[in-house]
Amino acid sequence: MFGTLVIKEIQETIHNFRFHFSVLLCLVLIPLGMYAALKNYEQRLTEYRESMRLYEQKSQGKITYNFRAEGYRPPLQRSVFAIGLEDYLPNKVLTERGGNFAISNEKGINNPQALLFGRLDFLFSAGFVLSILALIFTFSSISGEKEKGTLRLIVANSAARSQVYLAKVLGNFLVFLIPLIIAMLIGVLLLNASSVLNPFSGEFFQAFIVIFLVTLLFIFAMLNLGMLVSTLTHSSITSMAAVVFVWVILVLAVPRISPMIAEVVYPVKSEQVVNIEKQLIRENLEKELDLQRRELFEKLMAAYDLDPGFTTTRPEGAMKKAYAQYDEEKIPLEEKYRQRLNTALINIEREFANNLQTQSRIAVNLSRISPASCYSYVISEISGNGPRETGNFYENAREFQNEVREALYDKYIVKTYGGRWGTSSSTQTAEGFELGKLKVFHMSNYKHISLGAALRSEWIDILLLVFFNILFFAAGFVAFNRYDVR
Amino acid sequence: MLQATDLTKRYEDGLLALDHLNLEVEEGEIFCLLGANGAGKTTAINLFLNFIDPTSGTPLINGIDVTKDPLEAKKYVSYVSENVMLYGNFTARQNLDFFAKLGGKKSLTKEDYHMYMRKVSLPENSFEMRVKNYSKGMRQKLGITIAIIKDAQNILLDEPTSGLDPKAAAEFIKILAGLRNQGKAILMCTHDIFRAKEIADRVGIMKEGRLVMVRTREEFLEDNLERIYLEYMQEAVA
Repeated sequence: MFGTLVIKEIQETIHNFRFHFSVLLCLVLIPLGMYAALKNYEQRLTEYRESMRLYEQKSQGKITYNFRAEGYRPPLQRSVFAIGLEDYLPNKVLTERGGNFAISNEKGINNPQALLFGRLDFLFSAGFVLSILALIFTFSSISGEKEKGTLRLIVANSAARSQVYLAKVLGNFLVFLIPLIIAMLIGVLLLNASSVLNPFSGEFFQAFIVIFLVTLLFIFAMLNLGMLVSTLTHSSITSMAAVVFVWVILVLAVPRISPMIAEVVYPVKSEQVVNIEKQLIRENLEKELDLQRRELFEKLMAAYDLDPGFTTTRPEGAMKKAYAQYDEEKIPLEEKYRQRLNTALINIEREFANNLQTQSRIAVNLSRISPASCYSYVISEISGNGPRETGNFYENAREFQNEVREALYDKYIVKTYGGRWGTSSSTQTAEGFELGKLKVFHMSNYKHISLGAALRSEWIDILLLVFFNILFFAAGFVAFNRYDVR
Repeated sequence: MLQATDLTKRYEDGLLALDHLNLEVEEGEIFCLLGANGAGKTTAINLFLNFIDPTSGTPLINGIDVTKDPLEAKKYVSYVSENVMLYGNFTARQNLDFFAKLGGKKSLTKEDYHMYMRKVSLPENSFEMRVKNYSKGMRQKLGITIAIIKDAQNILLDEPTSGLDPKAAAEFIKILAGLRNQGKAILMCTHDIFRAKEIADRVGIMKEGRLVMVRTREEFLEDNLERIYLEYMQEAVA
């Protein structure tokens, strides 16, 4: 009985123009999306290599104690599934001797239309196109059969309603798999033709499988949603209007409105304002430190009966003693100010990060009422272009700054002497340090978020997709058991 | 055998659609339920098919209480609706194949289906035609073919001749007579008093949910069924 119902469902769907329409859309959009994203990846890879080459070229022989090393974010192969936030993510870090490294996005707006309309990639094809196709597949499964009168004929036989409903869900899902699998296979073959990417290798293939499975989970949720709508309506026209409404709300409105609500509910200062605040604190503390150093210098010069207005980089006699004492006593002074500065900067950064995180959490949690949002979070994080990549880039930038500091900045010791009348300074290098042996610094060990880490961070969205499946299925199942078939 | 014992249906809005219906349709008998729209004829069929739950009373199919064991009860009943629509993108044979399997007939061949379609006088060239190209009469014949293939002991027909041309209706009635001869218990709801008079062994007139009159074939032929029916209908109007 169940097999008969499933086969009928498959046959009926395959005979329907909706299936032919869906096959066409899947076969065109999914491979095209993957191909377009591949080309985008190839372009980013070329740009990355070119930036590295030019940076290497311009930096050769120009490394000094305050050299600003540049690190570039390498493109990730997995990003062919979703371009995600790629255009907005920082892609360059500039180290700084004082520790205040700068991160920036230097891509610029060289393709404004792409930013305006969004790009075609797998995430777009699945999130928008497949989701509406899944609803179109099922919106009249129940209400349409009621309209035709065939539902009455089916339940007039000894077919349990639970079996009828299950067969419809399973039949539609199996039919939907056909265009999806074919389209994804074509997409993989297109990727395989690329010289820069092997889709069957290691983590990329694992990511492909995971993305396929998560896509199935998402599609199944949307099919179940279509079935639910169908059991809550009694004519196919009403069902169609209802699924369009539901799709607009869940796929278009909720993901876009959630961040806007979060901004209103929990406003946060812009990064620009925070940077200015940090700069002001740094300048004020440096000014204060400078004053204290000068006072100390003057005090010591007076103690040795020396003229504080006269400084030299080659002190002798009493002046040498005064300088040595100054070198000794300024260490705790500078350390104290360094700690004050660090504490102040960390507090500002932490407060800013916490505020941003709270705002982001509000937006994410609000948007999670839509399966489309959950799906987008998972796919974009797996593709390395999700919201977490900004934090990941920041971590990599900090590591790069430390690397350069240890290899270069810490090797130079700068000493400044002087009071209110003027200063003189000297720079010394650490023992054994040879500037000539240094190579140009590269952020070559950039750590992208691994597939495992992405899955660990996105478990809640995957779980929510499972939950949406259960919820929509259970609600549809219960509604169909009470459905008036007359 | 079809039995209704004090079968009553009152909808949530308070409408009493069926009021203590007591009815028995024996094997080899055609019972025609006549009545105006809203008299409760289709409600009775819906209750037998468990499409809706009764407020009180019991619908029985072969002695099985439909409300208690609907799946078992429905093994013994076939149903032909007013507008047989079926699956338009399927051929007639594919439709028959699906409903035959639902009805428990799993080993029928293409030739078997063709033979059944010949029995109801469907033209040969329509056997592998998509049902969306069928006329209403052809669809009704296909509907009765489904009932024939299921070979259930009881048949429920809801306005089966509605919208059929006289030739098609006559052919349909002939098929019903054949089913009666095979010993089926047939309950047919209809407005078509002339077809009822032609084929029924007993007729019942329904009014406002109640079965107000039952006559055997001998009685309604003797008393002039049209006159009795009109009298009851006029009472209803008055």
